[in-house]
Amino acid sequence: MRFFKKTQIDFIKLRKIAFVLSGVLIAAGIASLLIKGGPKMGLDFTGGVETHLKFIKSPSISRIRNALSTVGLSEAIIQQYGRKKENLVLIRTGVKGVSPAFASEMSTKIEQTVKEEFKKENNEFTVLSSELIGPKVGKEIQQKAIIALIISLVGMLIYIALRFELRFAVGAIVALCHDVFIAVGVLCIGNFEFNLPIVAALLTIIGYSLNDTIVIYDRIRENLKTYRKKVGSLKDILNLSINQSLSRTIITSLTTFVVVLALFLWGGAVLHGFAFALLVGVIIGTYSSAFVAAPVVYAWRKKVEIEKIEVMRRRAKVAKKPAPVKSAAADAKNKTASKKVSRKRKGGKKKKR
Amino acid sequence: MVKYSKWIMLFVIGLIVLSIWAIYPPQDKIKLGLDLKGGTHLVLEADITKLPPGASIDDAVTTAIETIRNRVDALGLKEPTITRQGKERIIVDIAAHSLEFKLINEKKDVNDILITGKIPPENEIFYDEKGNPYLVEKKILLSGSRIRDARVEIGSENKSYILLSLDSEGADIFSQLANKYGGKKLAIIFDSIVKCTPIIKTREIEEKSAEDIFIKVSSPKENLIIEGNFTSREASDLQSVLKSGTSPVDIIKQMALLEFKLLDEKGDVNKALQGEIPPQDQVLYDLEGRPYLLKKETLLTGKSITDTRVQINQWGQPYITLTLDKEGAKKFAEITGTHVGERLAIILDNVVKSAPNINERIPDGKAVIEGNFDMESANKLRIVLESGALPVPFEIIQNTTVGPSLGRDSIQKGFFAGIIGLIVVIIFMGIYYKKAGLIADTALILNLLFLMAILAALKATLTLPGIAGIILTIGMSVDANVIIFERIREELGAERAPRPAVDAGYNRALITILDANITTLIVALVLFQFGTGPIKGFATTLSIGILASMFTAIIVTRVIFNLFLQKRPVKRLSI
Repeated sequence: MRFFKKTQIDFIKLRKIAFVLSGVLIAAGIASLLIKGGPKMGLDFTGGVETHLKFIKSPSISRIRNALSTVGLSEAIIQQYGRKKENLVLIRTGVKGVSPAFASEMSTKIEQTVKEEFKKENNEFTVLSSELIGPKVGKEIQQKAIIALIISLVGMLIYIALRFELRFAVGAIVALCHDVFIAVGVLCIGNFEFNLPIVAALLTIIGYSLNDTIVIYDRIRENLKTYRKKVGSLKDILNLSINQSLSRTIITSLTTFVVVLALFLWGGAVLHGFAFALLVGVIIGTYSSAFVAAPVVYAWRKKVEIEKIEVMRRRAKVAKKPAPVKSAAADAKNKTASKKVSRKRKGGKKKKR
Repeated sequence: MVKYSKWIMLFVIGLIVLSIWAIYPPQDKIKLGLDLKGGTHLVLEADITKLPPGASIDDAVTTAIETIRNRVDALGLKEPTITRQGKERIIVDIAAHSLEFKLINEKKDVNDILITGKIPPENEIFYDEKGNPYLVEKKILLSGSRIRDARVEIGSENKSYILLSLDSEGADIFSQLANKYGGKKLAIIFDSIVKCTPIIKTREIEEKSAEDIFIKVSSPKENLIIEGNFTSREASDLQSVLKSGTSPVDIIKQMALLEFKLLDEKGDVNKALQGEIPPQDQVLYDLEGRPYLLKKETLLTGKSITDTRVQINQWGQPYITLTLDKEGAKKFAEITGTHVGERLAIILDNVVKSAPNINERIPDGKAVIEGNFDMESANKLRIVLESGALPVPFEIIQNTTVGPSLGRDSIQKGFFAGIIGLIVVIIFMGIYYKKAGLIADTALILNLLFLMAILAALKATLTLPGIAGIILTIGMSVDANVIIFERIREELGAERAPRPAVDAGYNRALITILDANITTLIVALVLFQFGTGPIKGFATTLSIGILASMFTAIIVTRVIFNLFLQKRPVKRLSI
């Protein structure tokens, strides 16, 4: 079975459409961030108290709110979540300006208050989980997350720059930032909360997208060595490389997408946001390696393309002394004018087809 | 490589055997994180500003860890991990156990139901340690969190019984229960295993067979007695099970600084409250908010205590007796001797607990703390007094508590999602790459086996994000094989024979696979370094998954290919 047989898609030509599409997505994300006043921060970062309760019968949210406001917790966020019949409720309050001693008593207070309220109708609940994160800890977690993000980006940049060339590294980083930006935007539009698992998901997206990008880059590097003489222009090499890796890219994205989808659908409420971020990341990461990472390399090279190819060709000639007569002759001609060279390349490609 | 295929195959088979041995039985070998098994994760921070002058924070935290360990042990909680984080923080992880009292449905025969498979809707089946089934009603009558203490006591005829103390709400619940369900059998279920099935005993019921275990309300009604023909071993096992539901948070945090100070009888409390505090005095309050004018000098501290007991007076009110060590007793005798008629305040964490009159000189070093205690608070106070005070106050800056039911639910859901993902990927690879796909499937399953084995061998903790990492590995680890197979297809398309096509495919794909995986590894390492508990779990499974997948995809699948191609000349590859 084969999904793709020798595709000839001109990805570089499509890059302008792709840039517009990416631009729209990023703009939408930024707009959403601006409207909502930044991403919705979860408990991990803001600090606070969060209690998850599972009731026997469906509880009235407004009654919980009223009960809590009588004990001075009128600011609490109260939400029903999960499937309707699961009767899950989360209650969250901030702890800013609250003494640590009081904060550590808060979840007990919430549980007792809510229990009193629903005692009459025998609507008991079990405490699924409760979490207290002091404001100091929240800040630390925030800092750690940012440092982690920066260190992994720098780590990648160095690794790719070592293994490839700087412009490849830049292309990859542009693609990564593109992916993270869009993922953050989509999460913001979808009203998902940013917590530690989401940061882990974003980092995973970075790793995944890079994985995809590198497979294509590897092909480009290989093709630059072997096809240089036959195919010619960088554009063709890039297109060829993306097309050659296309089948692999799609298959791997598909298998990864399927498992993440399973996690999203059946993995439970705790992993919901995490799985959603990964779903977005798999799609965006796949798209960006073909439509962003490679075109960035192309854009970088465009101005020096011709000279650079000349240099490389000369090097190749020195390395493999008895060069084919025909290509050597072509080389001599190519030294003339730049425009002529590119035309010549196109001609070469036609012949190959 | 071709030459050594057989040996590598043997090596791989050896690894498989070793891995199965390493993870079997999984419930014992795979360490679950608190988010999966339920439990409490506390981060405590020392308040350095209150460190006594001249004391080192290092020693203080070390002493505090020891003290907290003693308290947690005294509560009967199993396997706490108490570690230091940084300079002034302590992390306490305590696993939660679920302990539930449910009613046994005796109207129906469990074995019949097991045969027909028709479990009544309000019922469920649990097993005891010997594998006997019980049909139990779903409703939880009493949960372990209501239990404050459990002790083994020796009754008449030297028989052990268990004295169980509930909190007041639990006591009410159980009294009602006893009226309603007298004579019926309860199941005490600990972590989904039936531990004990006592009959609820009320006055009317007096049938007795040697086998039966009874549970009854004692006095005060907070106390329950479980009696039967226990050996002392059985009794203490049951006791530790019953104690597991106690919440540790409040006693861990308590400073428990016990001080004895004299009241300044000559001074005027009211004047002191207006700001005119005599220089050698201080004002402290009791729990009701009553002020006391005390002399600043601390005469004795909790350090002199050798023994503490909870006792019950004739009104059923618990109180605590303290026994002081030799030196403490001498000093206590001296103080009580010289201050007869005055009042001596017993102060805990700057709150006046009681301020009894000194009637006479007390020579035997025995003191009593009375107060508005119930069994729970009396017992907790006993534990903190016995373990000694913390050298510096601590605040809880993070507390994550996950109930056991949520953890169980997470495991089930994660497992289900993983299995679905695995099946889809396996079928897909089989269809898309035919027999080669089956080789990749073998590699995938081995990859998961090795991943679990390495987790078990490293004694790494499996968390919920860790499960997510494994699921992600299922999807991503076929990537290496996809890269290889696509290469082989290309080579075959270029009219190469199967054998060289396979070799070329593997050789060309190798660099790509390494490059692509190393970047993901970098991310995993960063996450491991900067992440907290659960995120570390994700980083662990992800990085082990990547490493294992490189091994299975590059080496194991190639050996299988080689062995197939070696035996007979293959004209067409099934790929």
